[in-house]
Amino acid sequence: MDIQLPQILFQLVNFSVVLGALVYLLYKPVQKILDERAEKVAESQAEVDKIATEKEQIEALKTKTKRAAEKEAAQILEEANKEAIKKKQKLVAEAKSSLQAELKKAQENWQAERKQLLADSQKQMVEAVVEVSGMVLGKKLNKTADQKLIGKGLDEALKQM
Amino acid sequence: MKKITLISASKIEPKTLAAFKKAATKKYGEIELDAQVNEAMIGGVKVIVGSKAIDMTVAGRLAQVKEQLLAQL
Repeated sequence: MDIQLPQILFQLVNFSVVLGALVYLLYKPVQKILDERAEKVAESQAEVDKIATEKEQIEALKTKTKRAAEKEAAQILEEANKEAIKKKQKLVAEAKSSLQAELKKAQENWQAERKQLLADSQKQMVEAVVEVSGMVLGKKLNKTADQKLIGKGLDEALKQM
Repeated sequence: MKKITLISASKIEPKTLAAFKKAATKKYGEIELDAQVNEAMIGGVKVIVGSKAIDMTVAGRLAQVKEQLLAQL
């Protein structure tokens, strides 16, 4: 087989034309598509990273907010408890004070009623004594009773002398 | 000598009078006892020793009771 230079050249030119056509018509558009895709992927990755960062920030903010809310809730609860205890103590003190006042009033009323009853009974007794005295003063004792009374009176007088 | 006057509504029995005199003598020594009768009295006896009067009459006792009761009101 002889090597024919023109044939080789023809083949070379032919291959070059096919290569050039392939490069022009196929490689460049595919390269462009691949570049665009890579760019889109990079953009998407950047977007994903951004979203992840934002998510982390949101999570951090959420955690921070949650802690703050929990702290605030605990504080509110503590204050509410304190307030409740304070109110309870106040109510108990008021109830105690009221009860003592009622008790004092009841005792005072009872004392006043007792005093009044005593005064009334004493008054009645005095009236009875005065009435009986009036009845007795108008009469005379019999001799035996009088002598007995005189004996007792003299004994008593001797003690007082 | 201490003078003791006894005033009663009726005459005091000698036995009672003697017992009183004995007791009073024991207390004061020699005494002069004057027993008087006041028929206006209801009963009991009033004893006067010097300036001191011990009222043991019915009226006196009632008056004392009345005063005590009135004082408590």
